[in-house]
Amino acid sequence: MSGSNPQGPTPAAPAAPVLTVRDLAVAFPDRRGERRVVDGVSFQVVAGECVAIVGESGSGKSVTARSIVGLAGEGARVSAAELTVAGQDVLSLSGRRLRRLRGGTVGLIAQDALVSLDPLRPIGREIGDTLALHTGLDAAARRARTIELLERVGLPDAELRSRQRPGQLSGGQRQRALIAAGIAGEPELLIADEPTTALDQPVQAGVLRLLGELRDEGTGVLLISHDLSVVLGIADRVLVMTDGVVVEEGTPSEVFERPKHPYTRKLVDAVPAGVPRGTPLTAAAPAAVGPTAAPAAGVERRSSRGMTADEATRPTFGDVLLEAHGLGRRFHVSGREIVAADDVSFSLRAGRTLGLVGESGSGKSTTARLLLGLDRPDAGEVTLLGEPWSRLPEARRRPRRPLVGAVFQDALSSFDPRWTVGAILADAVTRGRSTRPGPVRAEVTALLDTVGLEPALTTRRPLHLSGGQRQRVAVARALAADPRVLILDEPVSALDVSVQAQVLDLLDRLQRERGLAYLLITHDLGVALHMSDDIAVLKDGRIVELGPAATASVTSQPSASRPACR
Amino acid sequence: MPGNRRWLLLRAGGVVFVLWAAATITFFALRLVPGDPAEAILGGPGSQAGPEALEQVRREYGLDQPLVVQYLTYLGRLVTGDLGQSYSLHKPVATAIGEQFGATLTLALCSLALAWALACALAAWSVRGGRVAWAIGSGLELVAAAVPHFWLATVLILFFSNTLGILPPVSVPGPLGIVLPALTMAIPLAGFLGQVMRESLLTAMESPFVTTARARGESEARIFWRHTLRHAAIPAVGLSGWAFGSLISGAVVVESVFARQGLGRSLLSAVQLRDVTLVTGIVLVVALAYTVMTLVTDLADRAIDPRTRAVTE
Amino acid sequence: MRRPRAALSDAGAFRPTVAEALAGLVLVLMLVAALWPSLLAPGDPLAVSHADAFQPPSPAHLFGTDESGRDLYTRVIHGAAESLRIGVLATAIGIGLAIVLGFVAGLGPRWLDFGTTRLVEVLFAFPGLLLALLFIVVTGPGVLSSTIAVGLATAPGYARIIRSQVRRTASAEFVEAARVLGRGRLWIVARHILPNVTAALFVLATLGLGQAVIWVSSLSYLGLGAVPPAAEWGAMLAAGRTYIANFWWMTFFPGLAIVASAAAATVIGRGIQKRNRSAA
Repeated sequence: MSGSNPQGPTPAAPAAPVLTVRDLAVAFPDRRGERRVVDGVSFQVVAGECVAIVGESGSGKSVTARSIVGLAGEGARVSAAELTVAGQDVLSLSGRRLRRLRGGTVGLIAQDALVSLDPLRPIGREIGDTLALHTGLDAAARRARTIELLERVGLPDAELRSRQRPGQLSGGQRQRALIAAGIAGEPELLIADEPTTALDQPVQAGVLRLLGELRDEGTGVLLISHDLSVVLGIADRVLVMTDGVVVEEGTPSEVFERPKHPYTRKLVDAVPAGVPRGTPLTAAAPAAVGPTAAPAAGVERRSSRGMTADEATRPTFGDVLLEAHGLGRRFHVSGREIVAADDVSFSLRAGRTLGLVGESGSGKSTTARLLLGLDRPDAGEVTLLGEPWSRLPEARRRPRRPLVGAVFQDALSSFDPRWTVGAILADAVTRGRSTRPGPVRAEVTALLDTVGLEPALTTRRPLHLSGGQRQRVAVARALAADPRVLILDEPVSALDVSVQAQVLDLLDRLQRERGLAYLLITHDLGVALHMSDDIAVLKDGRIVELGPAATASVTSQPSASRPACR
Repeated sequence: MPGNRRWLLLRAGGVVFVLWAAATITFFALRLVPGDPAEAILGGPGSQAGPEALEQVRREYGLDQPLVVQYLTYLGRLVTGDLGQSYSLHKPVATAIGEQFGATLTLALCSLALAWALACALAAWSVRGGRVAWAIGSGLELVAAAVPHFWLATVLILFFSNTLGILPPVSVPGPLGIVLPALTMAIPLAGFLGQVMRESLLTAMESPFVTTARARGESEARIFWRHTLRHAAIPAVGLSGWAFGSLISGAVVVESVFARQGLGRSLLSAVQLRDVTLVTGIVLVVALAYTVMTLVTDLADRAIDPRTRAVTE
Repeated sequence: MRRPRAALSDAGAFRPTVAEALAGLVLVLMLVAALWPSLLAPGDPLAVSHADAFQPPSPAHLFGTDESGRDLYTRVIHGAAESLRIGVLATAIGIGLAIVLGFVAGLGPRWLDFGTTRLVEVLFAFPGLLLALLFIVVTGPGVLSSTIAVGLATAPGYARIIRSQVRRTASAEFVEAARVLGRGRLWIVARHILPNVTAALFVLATLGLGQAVIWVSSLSYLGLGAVPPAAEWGAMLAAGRTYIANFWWMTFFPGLAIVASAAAATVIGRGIQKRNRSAA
């Protein structure tokens, strides 16, 4: 921190705290009275420091951040022993003084700039408004300053961009514009609430770099995130929150390499990045039927449905099950042509996982749909167990469909909203044929057991399940037909880290027990490298790299390996 | 922008298509009247038209020609503005329409403006006024939208003319004569527009960009007038095209109740007298006006809300 | 101000609001009036008594009498059957037609969708009553023709809504999931699409009933539908039109009945819509 001095190190003057929080509590009215969302949180942020609060959904981190500017939410009751920003007691402020604090002393950058910026107004206006509220500049000076700010946040063509609306910018550009609006009032404290969600990895890195620069210039930064890897590269101190309380505090290396609290330990262990293939991410052993029971039931079912004899035998590890040969698919959207797949070839082998990674729009989902036979390729073909698959008419494909199962990204919308879990699974088990309810019920219970869910869930609708439970039901449904191949399209991206770990472990166990071939589509490199034996990188519809996970070039990307401390 | 031009071309083509199809429907409407088409033109079965009159009509309309020729002649005459002859008014349909169109248009536009004002006021008041205002607001809107024009008219006449005596029960020339008819047309429409505006107002107020605006230090009032109101108005603007059509449809009743000259009243008496040519003429002109209005509102919608452009791209 | 939270229903709970309870009551009354009118109004709706003409509302005649001395209360109650029946029929015609158009457009191949949507668009070019009036000028006035006319005029609006609902459901992810599981098209339509669209249909029918009653009575008021001495509400209003200045009750009470039933149907329809959204 201080420069070297030949006479010995000079003690650096302690930096002034920009934010002091002591015993913050936020409660919301509930049907039965009150619900404490934040309970006794204390921390400090000094100028030129970046403090990060990490936690999963429902931990109260966002509410904590927003209560600093009095935006905790409608009906919130906020109380604290001390809540001071740059010397002002926030809780005693109201009206004009509070409004001057907002934007002028504290800048709030919300997540998802697409909805956080007014879609009807050019971004230059949004920034101009902040300037008008907190600086004395006239219109011309404001315009000039707006362009300066946009250039500062790294937006090229600032003049042009300032006249555009949020919908005309890319995700990363929008986020930068949002940051520009946040720093326009030259605040001493910047609160960034999940600033990198919904952004691709390289774009995320750019946004974080910008926040780091702002921190280096002397602004205090409070960073809220659920993503540990995001936090590690930039934070000076980390707080871990769960259920409204802070359970751990320290420097990134302390928290992530030597966690003291069991929750932190669980959180850190659950991060797949850097964990070798096959090592479980969670400690608890999932409730399981014996490994032989499920496949045996499967064999019984299948032979009773009269499948051919050779399909009833389990394939050997490594056998090629599903293969893509030179797939091509183009779309014509309002005059433009989009190449979703171009000469895509790979094979899925029993007991092995192929991870398909790429940025959004690279064609991952299209590839999945081609493999599942939901879409017809313009070029190339897909073969299943050596026989044509994509070429067949749907009627001929249908009897073989049980061999390929799918788990979709958004579990909720992949279920009919009017059906209960029991109905969904029973339908998958009986495959539309009428069977006696008794054996069907037994099999549904067995399926739920395999994925670690209780039979009591059969009467619930998907809307009333948690995200992790929904995803497990989706896996159970995919397993019902006893497939050989599973196509997993972003199966865990919507889940919290700890829940994600459970689902990944479940998928891993199922693969080992049943010798399934997986195609794992994900934008999260950590997940991909942990789960995959081979990696294929997709860019603009073409496979630019295909090889074993250990030697894939993406391993060199920062988010891929176990993050080191700063 | 090429996208815009393309859209406009497509829509304009759509308008032409719709008008052509509407003309085709009206063409067949005449020939679907039971009995002799010539008789229908002269007032339908039971018109007791003489044989010479029938012969003249047949020649004029070319009713003895093959259907295709009739159809093409019909289309040709439409394009030049010849909508045929009204037997009940003894003048060309186009002339009759021209005389009445202005009055109805005035009424429709006044009603639209009044409805907008009422809807905005009611929506703003009920949203910012707390729970009671909210309940009253939604109740009022519900009733307003469920009230038929003819009943509302009688209630208003009862109140303003009979009881208070400040407004005339029938339409008289001059601004006073338009108040009650416009009010009658505006109230149900305001009920409907108000509901739409309230919904979108609430959605806008709960949107994340409002949080950003608050975090910037903007006051609640400023946020309301500069941000959310604009968002709330958008669906209502889009509906204005439809509203225009519904107003013209309502004019049929309202003009009759208030004995007011206009297209609606002419249409009604034309239907009662079974003057098919006049009816089809009026209906076609209204369809033209309505379709063009819809195109204009769609254009306005696109200009105001860039998100609608994104959908089609 | 936040959207006032209605009593949040736990899975299955169904607590009607005050408005909905009232609306339900009104509809029940209407139904009773339609099916057993003598229960509520034992008199004869057609009983003429010139001596009692133009009587204002009184204990003897709750709603007053009309120009022929007929008791208005009795006529309004007995008119419920006619008016509601016509309204239901018109709604049925409109929605029936719309279901055909909407499903054909929503599920059929692209060219069929295109053609049907164009057809609906053309019908839409005639706003409101105009299509109905066009129909009536061709077929002549009367109860049946005005009923069909209203059905025809309301069909395009419903068709559009049904089509978009069908399209949205057909492209939903759970339909794709069903295809992955190997389900055939017919099965998907029957087990997934129909049940999800039916809920919206129900709402549409209820909301549409209110509209249909209003339109049908409007046509009667204009003299194009039911005619006096039929005890249909619109016809009663037509008869009372000339006497507004002095005998306001002749138009007020039948109109009130129309407004009440239309509003009740709308409230119930909206209530179902709200519950559909939270349950689904």
